[in-house]
Order: sequence, then structure tokens, then C-alpha cells
Amino acid sequence: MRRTLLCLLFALLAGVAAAAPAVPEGAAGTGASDGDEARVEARFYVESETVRPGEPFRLGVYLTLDRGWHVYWRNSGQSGIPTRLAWQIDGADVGPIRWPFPEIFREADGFITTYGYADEVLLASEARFAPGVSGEIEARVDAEFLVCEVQCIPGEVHLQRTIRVSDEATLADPETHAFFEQWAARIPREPAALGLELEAVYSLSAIRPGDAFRAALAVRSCRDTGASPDACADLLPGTNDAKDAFVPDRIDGIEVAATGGRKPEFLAGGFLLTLSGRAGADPPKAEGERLRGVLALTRDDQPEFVEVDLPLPRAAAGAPVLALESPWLEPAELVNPALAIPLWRALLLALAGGLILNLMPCVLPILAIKVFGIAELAHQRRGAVIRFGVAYLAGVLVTMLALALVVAALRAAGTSVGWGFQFQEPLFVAAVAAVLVVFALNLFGVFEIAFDATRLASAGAGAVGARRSFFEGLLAVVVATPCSAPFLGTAVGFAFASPWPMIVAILLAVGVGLALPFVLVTLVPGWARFIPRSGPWMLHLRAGLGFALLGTVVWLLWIMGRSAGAGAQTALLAYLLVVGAGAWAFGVLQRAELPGVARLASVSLALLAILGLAALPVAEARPVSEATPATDTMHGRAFAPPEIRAALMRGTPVFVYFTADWCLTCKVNEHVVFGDARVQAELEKLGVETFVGDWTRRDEAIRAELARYGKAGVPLYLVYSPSAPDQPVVLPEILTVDLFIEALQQAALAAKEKT
Amino acid sequence: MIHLGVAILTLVLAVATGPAAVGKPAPDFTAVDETGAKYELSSYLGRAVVLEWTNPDCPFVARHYSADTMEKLAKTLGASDVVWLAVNSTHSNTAADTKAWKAEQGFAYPTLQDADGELGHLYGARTTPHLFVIDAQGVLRYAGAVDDDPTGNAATPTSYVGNAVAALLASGTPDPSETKPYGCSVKYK
Repeated sequence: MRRTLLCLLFALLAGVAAAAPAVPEGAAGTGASDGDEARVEARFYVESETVRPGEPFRLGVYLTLDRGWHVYWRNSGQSGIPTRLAWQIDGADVGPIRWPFPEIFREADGFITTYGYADEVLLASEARFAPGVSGEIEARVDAEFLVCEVQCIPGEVHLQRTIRVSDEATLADPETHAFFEQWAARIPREPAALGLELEAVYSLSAIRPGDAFRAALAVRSCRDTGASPDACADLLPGTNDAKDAFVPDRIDGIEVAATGGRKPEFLAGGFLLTLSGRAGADPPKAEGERLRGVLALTRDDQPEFVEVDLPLPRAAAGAPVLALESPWLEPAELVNPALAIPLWRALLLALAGGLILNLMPCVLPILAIKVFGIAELAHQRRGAVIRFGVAYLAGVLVTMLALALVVAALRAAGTSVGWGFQFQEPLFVAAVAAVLVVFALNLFGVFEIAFDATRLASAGAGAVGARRSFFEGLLAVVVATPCSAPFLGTAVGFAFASPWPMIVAILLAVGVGLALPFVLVTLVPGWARFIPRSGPWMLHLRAGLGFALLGTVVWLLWIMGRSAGAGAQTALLAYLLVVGAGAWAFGVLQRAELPGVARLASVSLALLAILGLAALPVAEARPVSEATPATDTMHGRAFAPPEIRAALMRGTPVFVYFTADWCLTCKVNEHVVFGDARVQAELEKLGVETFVGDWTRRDEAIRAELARYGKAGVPLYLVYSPSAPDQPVVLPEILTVDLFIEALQQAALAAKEKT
Repeated sequence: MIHLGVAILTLVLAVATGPAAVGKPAPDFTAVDETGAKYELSSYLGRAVVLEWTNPDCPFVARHYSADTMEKLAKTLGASDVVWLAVNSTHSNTAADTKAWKAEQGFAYPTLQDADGELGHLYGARTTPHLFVIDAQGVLRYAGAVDDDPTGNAATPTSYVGNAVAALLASGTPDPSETKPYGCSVKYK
């Protein structure tokens, strides 16, 4: 249950303002008994002790509720019963209840929404005695209500009092009059009476049974006809959360609720509420159904309440309707497509994605090392070989588990991250570069991954080899994450949008897929026959692979330069130089066969390396625009949803792509596909507008947009046709020139057909 | 852990099949009643099924049970063609509570135990009572109130559920097929 600030304020005001005036005996009563207690007290008020026939006067029932209990509005919402008043006054005409603006109550995490009043409410009506009536008239009212806290109690109260009708002046009791006025401030009025204009647009030309639709409700005090916008009042939704500003009346067969609000410039001081709704299965009951409800707003910070009564176009089932577009309508709230797949499929996709990841450019250097490892292992005992496979798998899985837990912990702390997020941290990039340099030096033979030099003779076997395999698994995961692969995007998107056990399960499945080829090789007997006997060629291969790793370091340096500038790049190079020197020094000690010294040296060198990393001047984020100019292969404007909508409104096809410097898959696509002459020509010919979302550094707007399409990372390619601005075509992670051109042409074609 | 896994799996399946909507196949489920007996919706293909969300602590339910609305309906509709299943999604409800209430009221149909609210969320049950009628082909054909008499004051209320089932048994279409359910909110956890 949530209480809006506004309503709290009113409750406060009502509490501060004069306590409810006294009423004669019989005009007060209690209802809804709960054990010995009555949950509701009711009083019957008449504004004037004496009324003149034919003149309007107010009367009403004032309900006060026990704390935590509430009664219902004229539309009770998804449960409850509207409060009812039945008047019996001879010779008088009593109008309908003028309901004050209600509160919205949400139960079961928003699953059940109801509208009503907590604490107190005055339900007033306007009445008039017929001409000729005079004397003491007995007035009687029966109030029927359902009052709920957790449990609900139906209640009934019968109240009565006499009203003196006379041709003398209608005399209002000042205290009671003030009480009615105080509550009248909360009664919604016609927009015209407040100088407001309301208008609604719908996403469909007419709503048929079963249709889901969106709508936007505009509230403004003046049209933008060139007049200075200062002349228009500043209007805002009158509740903390714009979702609570509109309370719909009951429309048979239609459920509608506000989803949010915004304040576009073209409304000149006014605002828009976005609504979403769904029509039930039955055909519309009546002709001329309307969208009715009440709206809370503030005009120049003063609270106001308006009755909403707007057309609601309906159509019979199967009738042809048009999808409408308007800049008023926000893009559809997409159901997260990632969550629309069953778990077993997500796990399968994760496994396949992990497998394919082995062929992606990020993991290739590590894979090359594994191939070398296999060659080295070729002539080991089978038991040892299997142990290496298991160690590699363990390295991959432990790292994946750590990654999953970090993602889950960050999310629990309120920070949403995506796949490859660690590369958004310059310090992480620096650390990976250092690790790769150390590993390359190891391959060059500068030092061995062992503390005990005497055991170097049997290097490659036993614990040393297993430890190294584990480490290679770790490294494979670390460098694999900036790459996306087919299937992987969907699987990881599913994981990142799910509870934490799912994140762990999916990432572990990716790990199994990643490690599978190597593990399988170690399990299959007899493959060793195909590997030549070990000899000097192995040393050359080892060194060659070391250079491949240094190539990866060049890429990391490039990322650092792009995201943190040339200064940071130079600092990182200097740091890598020191790390390299340290590794060399360690190797010298190792060879001097001083195991104790070597061990001490390794610990202190590692400490120094970490301290040095922390001191690197790379952490200060620079503005992304300055640090990352548009890619050289494709010019596009920075990702901006309003501009995208505007371009689509103009009838232009739009291509949006999300990329990051550390995303190799992205860079390959951009170079091979976007850089292609045919693609460039086609983009020009079709007049496609391109937008780029650069995710090299953390950016919540881009992360949220990726999540809307069920992705947890880049790349994401969207081709929008102006004919369906809410439904872009999502292209696969691995693009081809033909596929891309075809998608562009279809988008342009659909746009033409429509116009 | 296994429980958690099963819960997540069920949720994922629920998301995959989508929430209940009139005119669409009713989401399948497996649930147990107060005796521990298992009920699977898909095993009732060929017969109509009525799901009745209930909560003895709700005065609306209490009123209908003291008037035997549900029991009479269930009997009139005939057990051979129509399966009547009550569902209690109240978070504090236990099988023992249900047994005690059943003994007191003396009705025969089972009450599915749904204290974790999964089935309630799957069907979008908002009130007690809230009724759902599923046809012999497993399609949801009616959702809403049991009748047109929220306050219990009408002399001859129209039974929406009775009419809906009668229409289905006569191979017709319920009209209305959706009404606004009335009553207490379901007391989900």
C-alpha cells in the first residue's frame, strides 16, 4: 500500500483544520464492528440549518476510519466495493456524490490496485428542496461500505436528522460551511472551469476486444501558438509518482492505468501522462464509451483536481484498425524478450554460446595457448592429461562463478551492470594488460610458474601444469567477456534479467561451453599420435604465442587510450615495463636456485604490482564525447531516444547500434560491414539516419536500452522503419553485408508503402 | 535448493505460457488440495473446470457459503461434466485450516492450497470470490464475479458462472465472458 505525499498533506491539512463540527443526536453512528470495536464512525452533515426551497445546499456523510483501514471510491479498483449512500428526504432532490480525489492502494507488490480513502472522507452531495416544501423535514441516509485493512468488514450506518425548510434566507452554519469547503478543494472539477484543456491519443484508431493499447493524456493550460511559453501555467502531475496522478473510472471490459508522465516542450507548460490498457474479451457494451477518471495536478505549485471525460474509440472484434503514431506516445513498454524463453533453452543457448566463444577474436590467443598445451601434453600419462583438463575447467568455472557473484552483488547494491562491464573500468583493463604481459614473459621463458626451481626439471607435469591450466581457464574467461557470440547475447540477457541463482547457472553453462573443446580433447585417448614428438619446435611455438598475447595487450592499450587518454596510456606502458622487469628479476632468482628468496621476491613483487596498479592515474573518467570520437567507419549521432523518435516521425529509416571499444565483435562488424562500400552507398541512398550508443564507459541509459531488448551487453543492432517506430528489427550479433543491406532496404520499403 | 529450482522453473514456465486471458488456453498447473491429493488442469480435458478463489475469513465468501451459493452451483452443474476446484491463495492458510472449514461447511469439492500465491498470480485472481470457467478444450471462457450481486441484497441474482457453464455445455459462448469480480482482495504474501 502506498500513500502519495499529496494525500498525506491533505490528511495533515484536514487534521490541522477545524476538527469535524458536532452533529445532533441520531446524525452520528458507527459501523463495521470488529469484535468490540467499530472500525468506522459516520456523521451526517447539512451545510445550513435552515434552507430555502429551490435553493441548492450541501449535505454529506463524513466517515472516520481506524488507522490503517480504508473505504472505497466510486471505482473500487481490482477488489473492494464502492461506498454507497442512499438518501431518503421527502420533497428533496439529492445529486450524486461529489467524490474527493482518492488515494491509490497497492497490495501484493502492486498485483492488486484499489482506489479509496484512508483515515477520513466527506462524501458530499448537492441537494434542493422542491418549491412549496416547508417545515421540519426528516432526512435519512443509509451508508453502505466495505472497510478493509488486511481483512475486510462490510458496514452499514443509518443516520437521520431534521432540516428546517423555510422561505427565510438560507443560513449556513459557518463552521460546517468551512468544513464542506475544505473537502470541496479536493473534489475534481470540469477542465473548462479550471482553464485547462485535456486531450487523449491512442496507439490504435479503435480498440477491439482483446486489444492491448497505449494512450497519452495531455494536460495544458494554453496552446502553443507562438505566444511566449511563460504565459502558460506550469503544470505537473499532482502526485510524487506520475502513475498515481490519474485514477480511472470503471469502464466495463477495459482496464487502464497510468504508466508515467513527461513534460515535452511542445505542450507549453503542460504535461503528458502515458497510459496503458487492455480490453477484455467481450464486445463493447454501449455506444460512445468514454475514458473517464480523475486527475491530480499542480498549477504553479498549487494543487488542482480535474474530471477526465474523453472519447474512447471502440470497435468490434476483428474490425480493421490502424496502428497510430504520435510523438505523445512513448515507445511501447516491451515485455523483456529475454525472459520469454524457458530455462532449459537459456541454458542450452549459454552452452552453445560458450562453445562458439572459443572462435571469437577475444579468446583466440588463449585458445592458441591451449593448443600448444595440448601439444605439450601429448606424450604425458593419461591421468595427468585429464587432470589438466579438469584444472582448466575448474579455472573457467571458478572465474565464471566469481563473475556471477560480483554481478549479483552489484545488483543487490543497486548497480545494474552488463556483460563485459569490467572493461568499463580502466583499472581492470590495466590489470588484465599486466597479467597478459607476465604470461607472455612466462611463455618466452623469462620465468616459470613455480616457486621451487628444483622441480622445474619436471615442469609441465604434476601440480605446476595443473595450476597453470587453472590459471589459463581464469584468463580465458577474463578475456572472453568483451566478446559476444551468437546465442550468447540471448542467454546472458536472460541471466542478467533473472534472480541471482539464474545468473550463476547461466554463466556456469557458458563456462562449461567455453571449456568443453579442451576438456573433450583431454578425455579422448589416442589423439597424441597426431602430434609430433616434442622438440625445439615447441619452444618456438611457445615464443610465438607469447607475441600473440602481447598483441592482445596492444588492443588493451588502445582501449585505455580511447577511454582515459594518452596520459593514461603512457602511464600504463610505464607500469607494464616495471611489471616486466619484476617478472624478469623473479626469473633470475628462480634460476639462482634460491627457492626461499624467490618465494619472498614473488610475494613482494606481486604486492608492488598491485600497489603500482592502484597508483595508476587512469581512474578519473573523462567525458565520453571527448575520449571517444565517432568511429571512423561510420558516422552517427549519439544515441538519443527523442531524436530517434523525431527522425522516425519525419519518415526516415533509422539504424541504431550499440558498441564499445573493448567489444571486439563490435569492432569487427564495424570494420567489415559498416566500412563496406556497398553498405555506405546503401545508407546514403536510403537516407538512413544512424545513431551510436557508445558503451565503452558505464552508461545507465544505454544499459537500460540493451535490457529492453533482452541483452546484457553489446553489440546490439536495431533497424527502425518509420512504419513501425516501436518495433525495430533486431539484427544478429554477427553481421554480414548482405543481411545488413537487406534489413535496411526492408525498413525503407515498409516506410514507402505506408506513405 | 531443489525447491528454489522448482519454484524458478515454474515461474519461468508461467512467463513462457503467459498469464490467463479469456479466449486463450488456460495456463496449466499442478497443485495439491488439503489432503495432499494432486490436481493437474490438463488431466481434465473433455470436462469443464470451475476455479473458485476463496478465503473463509472474507465476509463475501462467508456470505456465499452461508447461502451455499457455490455448493449449490457445483451440484447443479453436475460433477460428471464440470469439475469444481476451490483455490485458497491466502498466505496464512494451511491444509488444517481448510479441513476445519470444510468440515464446518460440509462441501465436497477440493480446495487447492496456494499459500505462496503462484496459482493466484498465474490466473490473475484479485478477489475472493473470483471465478474462472475453463471449457472442455482447456480454454478460459469466463473470468469474474460469481453473480451480479456484490452486496447480497438482490432478490434473484443472476449467476454469471451458472450461465457461463450452461452456455458452454450447450456449445455456446458465455455472455458476459468477463465481469468485474467483487469482494476482498486476495491476501497474498
